Amino acid sequence: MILQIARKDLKVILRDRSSLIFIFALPLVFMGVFGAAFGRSGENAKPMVVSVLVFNGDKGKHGKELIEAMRTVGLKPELDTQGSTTLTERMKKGEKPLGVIIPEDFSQKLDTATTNALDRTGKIVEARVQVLVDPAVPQVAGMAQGALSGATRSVAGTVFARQLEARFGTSPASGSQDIIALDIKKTNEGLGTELKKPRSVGDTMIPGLAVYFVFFLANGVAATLITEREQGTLRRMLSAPVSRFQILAGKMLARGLMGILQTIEMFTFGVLFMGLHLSGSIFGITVIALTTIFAATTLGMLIATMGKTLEQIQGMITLVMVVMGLISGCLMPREFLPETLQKFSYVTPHAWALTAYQDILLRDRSLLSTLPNLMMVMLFGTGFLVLALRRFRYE
Amino acid sequence: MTPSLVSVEKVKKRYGDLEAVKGVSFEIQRGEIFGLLGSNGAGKTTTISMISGTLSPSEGQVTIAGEDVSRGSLSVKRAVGVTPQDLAIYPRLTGRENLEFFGTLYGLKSTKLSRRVDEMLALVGLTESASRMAEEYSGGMKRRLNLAAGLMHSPQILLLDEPTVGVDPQSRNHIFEGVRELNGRGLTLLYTSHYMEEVQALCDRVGIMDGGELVACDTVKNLIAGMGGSVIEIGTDAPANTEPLLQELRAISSVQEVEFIPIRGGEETEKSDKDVLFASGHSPMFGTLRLRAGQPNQILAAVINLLNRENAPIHHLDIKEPNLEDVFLKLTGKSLRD
Repeated sequence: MILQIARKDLKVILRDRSSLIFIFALPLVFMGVFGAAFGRSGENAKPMVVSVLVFNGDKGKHGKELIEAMRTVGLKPELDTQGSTTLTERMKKGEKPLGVIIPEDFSQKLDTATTNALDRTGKIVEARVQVLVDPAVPQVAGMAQGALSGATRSVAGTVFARQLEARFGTSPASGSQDIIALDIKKTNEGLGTELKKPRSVGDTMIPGLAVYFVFFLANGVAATLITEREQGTLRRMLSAPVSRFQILAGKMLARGLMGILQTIEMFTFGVLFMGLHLSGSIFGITVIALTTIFAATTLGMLIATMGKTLEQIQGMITLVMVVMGLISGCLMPREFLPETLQKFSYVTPHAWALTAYQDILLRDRSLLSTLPNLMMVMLFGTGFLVLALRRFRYE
Repeated sequence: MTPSLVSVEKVKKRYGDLEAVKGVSFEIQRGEIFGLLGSNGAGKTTTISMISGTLSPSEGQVTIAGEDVSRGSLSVKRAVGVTPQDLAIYPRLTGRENLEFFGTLYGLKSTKLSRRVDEMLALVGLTESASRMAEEYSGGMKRRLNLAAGLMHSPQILLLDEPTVGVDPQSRNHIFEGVRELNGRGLTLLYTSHYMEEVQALCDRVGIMDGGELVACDTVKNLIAGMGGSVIEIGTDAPANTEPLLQELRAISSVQEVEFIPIRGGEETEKSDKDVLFASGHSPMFGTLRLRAGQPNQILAAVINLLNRENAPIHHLDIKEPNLEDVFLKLTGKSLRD
């Protein structure tokens, strides 16, 4: 009897093609995405490369040498030719975890500092480099900062060796010197001022988790639509003088309210137990939360129109949520992902919502300044809704 | 002649290559109970869905009170009430909450809504259970709630799709009485059912669907009259070779049809088995001899004499007036419960 039951169940499973796709495709997609994300842990793995915005104002050659040295320590310098002000603005928007401004007297001061050191004049001259750090991704910025230190020591060592060789005809095989100072500041703070509040684990984690879990609302929205279709109540509603939009909007509203409560719960927990600082405006956070909830619920609607059974849509939701959560930076900083995968990050509404939260909570930016990110989330939500409305019918 | 309330004109519905409804046309008059009969897959539910506007016809047109249903106008939607075959109710809401929700979909509010809910609960006999969760209801109670939900907005026509499937006799009676009462108040009903006796008892006119086509549409009386005479059923042990006996029975004046249906283990066999049995010349086989005749009383003696001559014992004898089931069987070649 067990065999007969198993045989019958196998027949049922094998005839549900969509479920089969998820049974067999889901692990492959997961393995692909996770493999790509964490693939650098193997023996043949490539080292992590962090992109750094650089403005080179230096009139001498050492600025260029510093940029070359950056490449050897795992940084990927991206030159900004517009000037230090533009670079600062771009950094404030969180474009890169680290920004470097090489001043125009960098080479001159480095040479002077090296000469003074060799002559033992006692005069202290420091070549300085301005470093801008994105407070939203402290883990990545910290790593990049360490690498940058290595690069500056390497350049200083090279300059020192050249002068030694010029004077005495000999130079050490390799060396490094600590004569380049890094003026580090976070993009949300003034240079040389004290940190307003130390960043906590809650500050860095909650925005990502808030976006990630709110998007799980899509599951509930899709499930309720499928259930209504299965139990026949959807047919009854569609035969009533109620538009498809009204049905979808009603469902979005109910789930949206749950999403608001979920967000409040997460932020409250973050403040109470994870040291989250609600430094930005509560109004701004509320607007971001509502926009994110809108995109999440409309995504649920769209998924519901793509599957016929609960099994099918749950497979889809798992696929979409985990993959989007991973590549968007909600679960771990985007910079930890390979560059190819990073490019797909902004294909997800999660990434834009996360950036908006980080702008308000970590970069101390205003709601107005992060409006483009919110517009993108709205655009995703509206797109999902339009597609859902077009596909949504009783059949 | 008053214009019909519902007009279905050459309606087709295709799903890819499959044509579920193949050019069906019929009309439903105001105040009548119109029955739609058909076995599973005949296209009844699809036709009802096109009348209710939840499905759009691939071809043809459905109008209600002269308005094209596919335009989805408010007046058409308000004119139609739907009681789907599925229990289209929310299990986690009480009976009252269910009705309140469906009432609000049609714009009912406050006192009017509350009064209408009470009225519908009373109509389907659920007043006492109104505050219980629908998931706690018996199958029959859920069916009754399903019926009430379709009536909340006082529609002009109620589409009842298999409203008595799986219900207990008490609930069936409630639904029956409810349908009659509603019709008495002037409500037009489209009623589909597997239960022929229900349709025969309730409906003024009946449409019979088979394989997506409407194969007959008339009053119950006319459909039955078209069948000819009554049916005589005799339980007997037929001789090994029945054919000569059947030939002689067919020769009796006013006999229209004769067939022998052997029964194996209490079940009627399939037609193909019958043919094998008749041809094989095995020992006598218990079965039912079925004759259709215009005046059964006049041929009964001749039939009994022939059976006596063949030493075929008579286990039971029944004379039945033809019914809708016979009509259906004749038109579609299958029993409605197939």
